[in-house]
Amino acid sequence: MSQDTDGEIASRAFRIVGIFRAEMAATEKQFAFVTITAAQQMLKLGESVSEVSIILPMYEEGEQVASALRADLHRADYEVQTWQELLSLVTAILRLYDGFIFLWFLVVFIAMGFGIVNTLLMAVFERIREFGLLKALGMKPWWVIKEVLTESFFLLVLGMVIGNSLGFLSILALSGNGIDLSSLAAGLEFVGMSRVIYPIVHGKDIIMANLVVFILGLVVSVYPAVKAAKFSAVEAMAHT
Amino acid sequence: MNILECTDIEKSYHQGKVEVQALRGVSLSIEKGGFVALAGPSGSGKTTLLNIMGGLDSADSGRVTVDGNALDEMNQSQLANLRLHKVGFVFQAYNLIPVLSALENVEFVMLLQGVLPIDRRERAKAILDDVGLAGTYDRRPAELSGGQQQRVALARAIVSNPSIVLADEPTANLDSKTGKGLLEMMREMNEKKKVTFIFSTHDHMVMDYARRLVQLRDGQVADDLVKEH
Ligand SMILES: Nc1ncnc2c1ncn2[C@@H]1O[C@H](COP(=O)(O)OP(=O)(O)OP(=O)(O)O)[C@@H](O)[C@H]1O
Ligand SMILES: [Mg+2]
Repeated sequence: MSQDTDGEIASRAFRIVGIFRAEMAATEKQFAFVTITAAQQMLKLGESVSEVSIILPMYEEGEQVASALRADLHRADYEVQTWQELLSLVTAILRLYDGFIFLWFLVVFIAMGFGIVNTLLMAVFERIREFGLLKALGMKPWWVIKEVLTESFFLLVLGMVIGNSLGFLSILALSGNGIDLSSLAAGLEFVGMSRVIYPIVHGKDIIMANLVVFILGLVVSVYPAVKAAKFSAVEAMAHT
Repeated sequence: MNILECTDIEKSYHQGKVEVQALRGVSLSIEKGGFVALAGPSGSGKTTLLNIMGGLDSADSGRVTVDGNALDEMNQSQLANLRLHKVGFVFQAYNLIPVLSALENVEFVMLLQGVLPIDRRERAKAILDDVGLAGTYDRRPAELSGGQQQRVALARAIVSNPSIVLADEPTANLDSKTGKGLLEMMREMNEKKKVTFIFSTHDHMVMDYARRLVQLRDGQVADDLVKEH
């Protein structure tokens, strides 16, 4: 039963020839499929259709395709909308979620920064005598800084190799069966999320994360490096 | 000609509220090619004076010149440069970088100086041979005896032909026989290569090796004796 183009009640009976199973029960309840001619007859649409939905391979492409379509269909009686415009609630939730992720990254990176400073400070203090000796032998403060930064560089590279490998391995393991969120399914349906989610890797994200780790790592290493360069040789050598 | 000149050196340390006067106006001229012992009881200021002579520590007042360079006019980087090229150090212990082999320890100073790898290897080997360590190039400090470690330190101190070698109780951790061996070696280097040596000690056996004996007491020069040989 529905409203036709004249605003009258249109109804007809259909014989159910099959049922479908969707990711979510809500989808199953919401939609019934009929042939396009049956629908056009019932709603007195003639040859017309009221809406064309396009599914794109990547969700980010929506805006781009929409504006291309708008440019091509510059007749006023077509309206082109992206899913973000149609589902503004979902869009808002996703944006909030992005905010959370950003905060999460911020916390992780700050923790990482302290971790690196701590490790390097310990590594420096442990060898305070050696640094004293190096300075006594005529190593300039600037050399000592370079030395500690080089060490930090190698630590970072090693850490990144291990971290990236672990990351890829876990993605590889999870991409087979995905992450099953069935137990949370009822809640997730509300935002239109599926029961099983699959991790995807974006090249851009990998490069960004590694770059941030690398640069942040080197920047925070300056502090222990300067510290090492500042020990006076006499103090350091007297240290037991 | 004097290679090192100290004029009215004063230095005090603060330990909490207590002020300790380590040096009270020390003046000393060391001639080129000298082999000088700094003697004196514990706490007389030997280490403090050697550190100031080598630019490791700064005097409160007075002036030190090494090979014509006034140390008080130099910044940290210039002092480092002076130590690198003109001063060799031998300390009482922990002279060597533990992760480097004997040969690499000797090469290290030349690496800082920018000597080419082939040259530095050659010179390091030659000097280790000179101090009687021909078979121990690849051993780490932990795999060397105390006497051998001090010889490596001596080799490192003289390998770049410094104007002066400062040795703070170089034999204090060695038994007397090994200590004698090191001193013979030092004197040989002094005679053969004309390197100036200043070393501190409170051991009479060590003082006997010196050609000049400077006695410190309470931060002052109490006696300065040039021995005839
Ligand atoms: N870093 C320091 N802080 C405080 N006082 C110090 C410091 N270094 C040395 N002193 C004091 O300065 C004085 C001279 O010390 P120095 O180490 O020069 O004597 P020394 O002749 O080398 O003694 P030793 O034979 O025991 O090595 C001593 O009274 C010592 O306690
Ligand atoms: Mg001393």
